[in-house]
Amino acid sequence: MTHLLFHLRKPPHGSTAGEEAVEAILASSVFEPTLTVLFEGDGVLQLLADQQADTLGTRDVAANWTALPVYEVEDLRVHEPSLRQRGLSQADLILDVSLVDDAQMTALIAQADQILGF
Amino acid sequence: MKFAIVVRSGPLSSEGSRSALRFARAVLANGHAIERVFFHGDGTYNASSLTVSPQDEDDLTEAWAEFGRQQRLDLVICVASALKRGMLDAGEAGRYERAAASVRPEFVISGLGQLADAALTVDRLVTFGG
Repeated sequence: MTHLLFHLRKPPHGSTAGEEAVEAILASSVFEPTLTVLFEGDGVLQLLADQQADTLGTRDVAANWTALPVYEVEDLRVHEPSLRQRGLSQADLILDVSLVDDAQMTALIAQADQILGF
Repeated sequence: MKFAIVVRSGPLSSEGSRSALRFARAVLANGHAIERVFFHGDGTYNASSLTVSPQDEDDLTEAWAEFGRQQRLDLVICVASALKRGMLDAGEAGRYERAAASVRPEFVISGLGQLADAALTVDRLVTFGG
C-alpha cells in the first residue's frame, strides 16, 4: 500500500498552508493509503492548543486538525526537538501525537513513498 | 518514470513556481513522463489569464500555459483554493455571478482528489513552494 507522508513545516496564521494541508489529508484519506502526518520546525505550532484565533477575526485553525482522528487519520508524529526548542511539550498540543527524534524522523521520510510538503 | 508536480507558490511569491517549471522541463527532457501538475493554494495564481507583465519580464502564467499546451499536460488547479482567490473559469464565473473569468484555457479546475490520485499512482511526486 502506498505510504503518503504529509510534512508540515509552516506555522498557522502566516499562510493558509495548514488549512490546505488538512483539506488535502482528508481528501487523500478517502483512498485509504497508509497516511502519516509529520510536524517539524514551526509546523509544530499548528497543533498548539488555546490559540484564540478569534482575536484575529479568523477561524481557529488548530481545531481543523481535530477532524483528522474523526476520519481515522491517526498516525500523527511530532518532531520532539522542534517542540523543545520552542519551549513546548506534548501537553501543549491539541491532539494525541507520537513524538519522534531526529533518527526516527529521518527514517520516516526515507520510508514514505510520496511526501507532500506544506 | 512517471512524475507528478505540485506547485504551492504563486508566480511572484517565491522561486517555487519558476523552479517547478524548470524541473518539469528537465523531467521531459530526460525521457520521463509528467502525469499531472497540480496547483494548490497560491499556486493557483499561475493559471491567471489576467496578469500583465512588463516587457522585460517573462510571464510565468504564459510560460506554464505554453508548456502545458505544447506538451499536452494535465494542468489542474484546486477548486477550493481557486475560488477563494478569484481564479474562475467561465463556468464558475457564471455559477457565482462574477464579472469575468480569470483562468487560462490550458488549466482545468478540479478537486483535491486529483492530487491524491496523482500521489498514489506516480513514481515520484515533487512539491514546490511547500
